[in-house]
Amino acid sequence: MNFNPTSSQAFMLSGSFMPMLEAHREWRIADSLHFSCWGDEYVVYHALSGDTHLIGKAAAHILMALQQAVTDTQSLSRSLAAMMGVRSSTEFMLEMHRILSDLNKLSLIEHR
Amino acid sequence: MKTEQQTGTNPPQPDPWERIAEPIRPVDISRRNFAKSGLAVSGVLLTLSSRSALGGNLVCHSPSGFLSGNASAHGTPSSCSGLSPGYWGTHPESWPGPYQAGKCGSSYSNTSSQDSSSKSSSSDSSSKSSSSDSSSDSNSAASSLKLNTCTKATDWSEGTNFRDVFNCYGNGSIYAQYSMMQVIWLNGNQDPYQLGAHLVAAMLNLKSGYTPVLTENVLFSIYNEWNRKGYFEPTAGVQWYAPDIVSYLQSTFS
Repeated sequence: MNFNPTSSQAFMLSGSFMPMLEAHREWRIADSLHFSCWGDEYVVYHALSGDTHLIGKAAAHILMALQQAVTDTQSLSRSLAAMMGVRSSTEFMLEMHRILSDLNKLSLIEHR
Repeated sequence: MKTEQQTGTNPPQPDPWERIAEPIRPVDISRRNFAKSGLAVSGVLLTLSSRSALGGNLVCHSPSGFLSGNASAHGTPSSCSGLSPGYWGTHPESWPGPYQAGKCGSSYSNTSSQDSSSKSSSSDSSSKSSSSDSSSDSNSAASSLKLNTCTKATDWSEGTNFRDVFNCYGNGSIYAQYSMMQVIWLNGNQDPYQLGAHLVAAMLNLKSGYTPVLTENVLFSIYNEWNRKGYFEPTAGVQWYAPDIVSYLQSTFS
């Protein structure tokens, strides 16, 4: 996660540390995604790339949230934390950013 | 994929992507160690990549290969050098037999004497025509000038009928009244997504030997299923509609 610790715009969110710029970064889902699920595992087929991805509950929650509407990182993290019944700790946010980064690299989501 | 561990009353669904090929990217071990929130093992676990032939990649695939990224299980990937509808629409002299481009206006004609013979329901004849090319117009400058204005379906006459090559009793009925060359020049309303134009180009390409992975049988399979159902299924559970078929055919162009 890239952030500038000296930035005066940094703020605390439920004990985590997230630059304001990252918190309000908006995401949208890619087109042509097809889902199937087995228990807590989800398979996503991206018709445009032909790639197939096995993703877990958290990634699936993010994709389904973005299917409903363009959402920013902060809202996604709150929604995900609530779904998983955990606190938005620093570790949670770091992992959250990793998942978003992975999904972005795979072109399943993109910045608005 | 743990389909056999699925609980509940529904039987495990068949995996539609069983044949999708490698490479497989393993899970990052360091992320497994982070288990406090369970988040690390609920992100992206596995990716089966598919090499897309979109975007000008010269390696081309059969429809199933396009889906999975493999042209074949062995050997080197095939390459394609297909030409676009735009090329075939402006180079009637290059059309391979038995297909005739037709006449544009009154000063250009394709004088090939062979008639079209392929039907979409027939098996692949596998024999490439060795027919002679059309003779060139004696006034090449004038004919070239004339060709540049032949950019509408109504500019063309005669030529091989689309319905003599592709069955037009279903969704393809929109092309029934046109020649193959006319189909190339149909506008967007008459030929949504330019599917017809791409089908014609694909046929001319394969007859010319430019697209080894796309045989006549494969092209007819794609067309016939779309003609009947409105889509083509390259594999179970995946449906290609007109824009998807166009994307695939474009992947066989150079």
